[in-house]
Amino acid sequence: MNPTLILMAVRAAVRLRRAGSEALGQYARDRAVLLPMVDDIAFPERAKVLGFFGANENKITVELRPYWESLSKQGAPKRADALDLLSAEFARLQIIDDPKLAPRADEFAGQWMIKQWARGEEPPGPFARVVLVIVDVAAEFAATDPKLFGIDGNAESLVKAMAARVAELVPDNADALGPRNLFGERVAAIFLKAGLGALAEHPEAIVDEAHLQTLVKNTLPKLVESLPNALDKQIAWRAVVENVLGPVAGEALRTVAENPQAFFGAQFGDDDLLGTLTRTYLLKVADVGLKEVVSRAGAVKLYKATVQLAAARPDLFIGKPQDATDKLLAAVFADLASVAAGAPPFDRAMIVDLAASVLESVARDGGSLLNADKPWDNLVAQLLNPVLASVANAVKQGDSAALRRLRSRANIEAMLRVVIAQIAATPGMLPSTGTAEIDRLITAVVTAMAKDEHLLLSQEDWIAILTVAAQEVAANPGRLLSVGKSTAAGSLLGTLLGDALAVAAAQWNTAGRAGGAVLFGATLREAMIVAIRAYASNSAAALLHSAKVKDLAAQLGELVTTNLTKYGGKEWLFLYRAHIFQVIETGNLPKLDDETIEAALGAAGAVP
Amino acid sequence: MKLKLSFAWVTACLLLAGCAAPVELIKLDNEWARAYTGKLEAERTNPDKFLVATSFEPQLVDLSIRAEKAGDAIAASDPAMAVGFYRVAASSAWKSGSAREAQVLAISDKAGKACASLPKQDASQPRDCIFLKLVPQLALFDVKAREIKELVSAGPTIPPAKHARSLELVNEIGGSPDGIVARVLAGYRSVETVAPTLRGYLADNLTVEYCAIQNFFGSFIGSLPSPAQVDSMRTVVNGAKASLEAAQISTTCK
Repeated sequence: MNPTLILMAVRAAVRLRRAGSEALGQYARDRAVLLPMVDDIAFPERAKVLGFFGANENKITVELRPYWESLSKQGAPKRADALDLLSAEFARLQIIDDPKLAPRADEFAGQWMIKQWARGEEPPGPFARVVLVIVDVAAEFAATDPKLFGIDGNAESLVKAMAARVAELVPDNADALGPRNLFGERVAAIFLKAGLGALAEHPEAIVDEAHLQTLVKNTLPKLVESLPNALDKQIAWRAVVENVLGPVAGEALRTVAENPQAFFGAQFGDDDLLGTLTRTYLLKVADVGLKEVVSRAGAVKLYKATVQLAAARPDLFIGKPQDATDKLLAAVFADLASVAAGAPPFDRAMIVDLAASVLESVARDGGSLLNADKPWDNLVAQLLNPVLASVANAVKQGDSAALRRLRSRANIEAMLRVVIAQIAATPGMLPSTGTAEIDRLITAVVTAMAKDEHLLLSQEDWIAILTVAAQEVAANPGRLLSVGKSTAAGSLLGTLLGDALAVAAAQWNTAGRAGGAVLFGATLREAMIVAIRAYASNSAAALLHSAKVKDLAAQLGELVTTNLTKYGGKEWLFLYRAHIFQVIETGNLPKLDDETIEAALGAAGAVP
Repeated sequence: MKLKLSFAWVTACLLLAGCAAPVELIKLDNEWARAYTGKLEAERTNPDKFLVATSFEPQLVDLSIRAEKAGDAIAASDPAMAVGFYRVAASSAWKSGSAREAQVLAISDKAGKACASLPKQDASQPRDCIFLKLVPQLALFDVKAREIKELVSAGPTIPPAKHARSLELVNEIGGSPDGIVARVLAGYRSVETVAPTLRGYLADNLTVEYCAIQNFFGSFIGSLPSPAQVDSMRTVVNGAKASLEAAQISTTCK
C-alpha cells in the first residue's frame, strides 16, 4: 500500500475521532436543559388582592372604593365582607385582562427546558453533519489517491452508496443531536474510511455499485437503530462497535472487491448475505462485549472465518439469511464460551484464534460436516474440545520442552486441521460415536507427544503420524481405539506409539547419535506409521503380541548399534517392515543373523 | 508493530480525552435536573423545609462544587464545554440556598471569561452565556425573597419597625435602573434573537419577581403604613409593572 495513503488514513482517523468527540460535545452543550426559577413566594389571598388593587387603583370601581379603603386606610370604617368582594373582583379582572394568561398551571414553580439556539441559528443538523463527514473523508482520500475517484474508480460507487443511505443514518427522533444521530455520523465515517482503504487495495477490481448499496443498506442503519437507550450501555456498546466496525467493514469491502460471486448473484435473489452477516456479527460482538473475543484482532479473525464459512456453503443461508446467520453466530459464540470454560490452560485469545481456524478449516475442507438441518450446532466445540481437552490433560504433567511444544498454537492448529480433514472425509466419525473416537485418537497421539522428552520427532513428524492414525481410525475405529470398550483398557494406538517411543528413548539414552541410535526423526516417524498400518490390519493379534513388536524394535536397534559401520536407519526400517507382520501374527521374534538380514534387505532392494 | 501500537494509543487517548467531558456534562446535567425537581417537590410537600435543608441542599452544594471544578479544569483548553459545567455549577449553587449561593457571582465571572474566549463570544453559546450573565441577579432575588418571606410570616401584619426596610426591599427588587427586575429585563431585551424558550424562561422569572413585589405591596398595605410610604412603594411597583408591560411580559399574578 502507498505509505502516503497510510499516513492519510491515520490523519483521517484522528480527525474523525476528533470530529466525533466534538459532535458529542456539541450535543452535551446544546441539548435542552433545565434552568431554575426564582423562588415563588406564597402570599395569603388578602395580600394578593391588596397588592393587585394597590398597584391598579384605577380598577377600583366607585362601588368598591369603600371596601378597598376599609382594608387599606387607617381610620376608615371596617366592612366585614370587604375582602370577599375585592377578591371576586380581582378574579374577574384577571380573566378580563388576559384570559390566555391563566396563572401558571404548575403545582410548584414552573420549570423550563431551555434550548441553546433560536430556530435558524443552530449549527448544522444531523443530516448535514453526516453529509459533511462523507465529503470530508472522501476528499482526503481523493487528494492522495485521485485514481480512486477516477473513471471506473470504485470509491465513487462507495460514496454514492453511502450518500443514498444518509437519511437512514439519521433516525427520526425528537432530539436532533441525540445519541443515535451522533452514532450514525460516526458509523458513516468509520465505514467509509475503512471501505475506501479496502477499495484502494484493489484498484483493479470492478465493484458493482448495487452490491455496495445493499451492503451499506443492510449494515449501517440497523447498527444505528440498535444503539441501546441507557447511557452506560450506550457507552460500552458504542465503544465495541466503533472499535470493530472499521476492520470488519474493511474485510466486508475486500470480499465485495475480491470475491463478489461468493455473496452476490442470481442464486441469492434479494438476499444480502454479506450485509446480514456483517451486521449480525457486529451486533453479536457488541452484545457479548469485546472481551468475549479478547481483542479487535480476534474479532476480525473470527469475522473473516465466518465469512469464509458462509461463502463456502451459501446454500445453508439462501432464503433465510437472517435466521441462518443468527443461528450460526449464536452457536459460534456459545461454543467459544463453553470451550473457554473447559480449557483453562489456554488463554482466550488462543481459543478465539483456534475457533477461527476451525471455521476456516470447515469452510475449506469440511463442507460436508454441515448438516442442512442443524448445520452449526456445536460445530466449533465438537471439533475443538477433544483436541484442547487432551492437550490440557497432558500439559498438566509439567513444563518440559515436549509439553511446551504440545501446547503451542501451531501444533494445536495443525492437529485440528488433520482432525477436521479426516472428519470431513469420514463424516461418520462425529455423529456415530459422539466425540469418543476423536477423543481417543487425539489422546493417544498427545500422550505419546508428551512423552517425547528428547524431541526425537518434530512437530511435522507427529502431525504425519496423526494423519495416518486418523485415516486408519476412520477406516476402522474398533481396531486401533477400542471404541465401545472400557476406556480403562486403553487403546492399541496408544500402546503402539508409547512402545515405539520408549524403545527410541531407551536407545537414545544408551547410545545417543554417536553410539548408533537411529530411532528418531524420519526413521522413527516411518516406524510408527508402519506399525499403525500393521496393527490396523490385524489388531486382534497385535493386541496379543504388542510386547513382541516392541522387542523387535529394540532388537533391531541393538543390531544397528553393534554394527555401526554396516547398518543405519534405513536398514533398521527395512528390517522392521520385513518382520513386523510376522511378529504380530506369530508373536515370535525373527532370527537375525547375517544370512537372514541380507536376505531380508535383498528382498527389499536395500542390500548394504 | 510500533506503528500499530502508536495508533492504538493515540486513538485511545483521543477517545478518552475527547468524550470524557461531554459525558460528564450530560451526567451532571441529569443529576442537576433530578436534584432540583426533587427539591421543588420536597418544598411543595414539606412546608417545614426540614427535608430540603437536610437532603437536597447538601446534594446541590456537592454538585455545584464538582461542576465548578470540572469547568475550571477545562476552561483554558475547552471553554465551550467549561461554560456548560459553569451553568450546572451556578444553577446548583443558586438553588443550594445560603449554603453556596455566595459562589454564584464567582462562577458567573469565570463563565464570563470563558464566553469571551469563544469564537463568537456569547453568541457561540447564547443560552448558557446569557443565563450565566444573569444568574447573579436571579440568585439575588432569592436572597431578597427569603427576607420578604420572613417579614410576611412573622405575623398577620408587617411590624411598623420594618416598614422602612420593606420599602428598601421592594426598591432593591423593582427599582429602576438598579433593581433586580430592571437588570434581568435588560438581559431579556438583549436576547431577542436567541431561542424563544430562553426568552420565555426570563419572562416567566420576571413575572414571578414582579408578583413578589406586588403581593408584598398588598401585605404592606394591609399593615397600614403611612400614606406616603404606600405611595412610595406604589411608585416602584407600578414602575416595574410598566416596564414589564412595555416588554410585553405578563404582570398577571396567580
